[in-house]
Amino acid sequence: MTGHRSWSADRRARLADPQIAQAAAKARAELDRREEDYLRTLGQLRNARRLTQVQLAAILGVSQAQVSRVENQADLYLSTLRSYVQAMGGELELRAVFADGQAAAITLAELLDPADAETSSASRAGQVDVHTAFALVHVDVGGFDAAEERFHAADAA
Amino acid sequence: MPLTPPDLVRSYASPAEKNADWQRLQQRAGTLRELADLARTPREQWPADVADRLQAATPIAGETPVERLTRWRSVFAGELADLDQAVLAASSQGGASTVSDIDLRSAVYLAGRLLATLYDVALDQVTP
Repeated sequence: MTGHRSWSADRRARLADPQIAQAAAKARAELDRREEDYLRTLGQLRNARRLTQVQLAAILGVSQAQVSRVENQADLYLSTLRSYVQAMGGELELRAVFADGQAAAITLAELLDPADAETSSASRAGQVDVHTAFALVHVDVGGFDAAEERFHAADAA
Repeated sequence: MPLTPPDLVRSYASPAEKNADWQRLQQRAGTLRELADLARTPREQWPADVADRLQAATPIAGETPVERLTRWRSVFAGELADLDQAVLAASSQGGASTVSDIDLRSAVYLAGRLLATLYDVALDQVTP
């Protein structure tokens, strides 16, 4: 490892250069501006669909405050964003676009945590028979004591 | 703490009573969904009331509210998903009228148990 400088030391050395520091500050400002654009876009998208935060919250089954948090969150989970878009009647698509013009669609399902996909509520609404869905609830009620024991056993551990 | 199962097979006395329980179920399901999402959210971004309740609920020294919430979401992932699916299916297919009395009571009960377990309180202390 002799002769190697750590990444953080290298970064500090580079930022000591006024020109590089200025360029970095400019890049940071641009990122901040883009982030503001992003935050506006989610709210604008909802407005364009003629939905209020309260209406969207009712569709998603969450509070209005939760919708507000999603719209103001700088870094969203894809599953959350997908649910948000689906609640507005749309589908979330993801594309990787490169400077040389190459572009490729990314399969969203493969990126999402299977647990998230499982609980991605909006995508499943209406796809499951009500009686079947509530039958599973009955099974869960019957087994809840055992599940709760597992929870407390983990507590003890 | 006593968690005596209620009489889940009892019919609702009126449509209004059933509708009130349907509203309660939707509120609880929404709360559960928010809590499950919070398990993946930095604690600094949690609503103060949730942080306070989880702090108070932590029964074992050394377990943080974040760890408790994460463990709860993991242990009850199946129950949370089933409940979420049931509420959304009913919501999108006609609401309370599509759900039998026993189904609705069971779902309200399950949602209450999930919240009671997380917050370490008795079932009758769960609100709404």
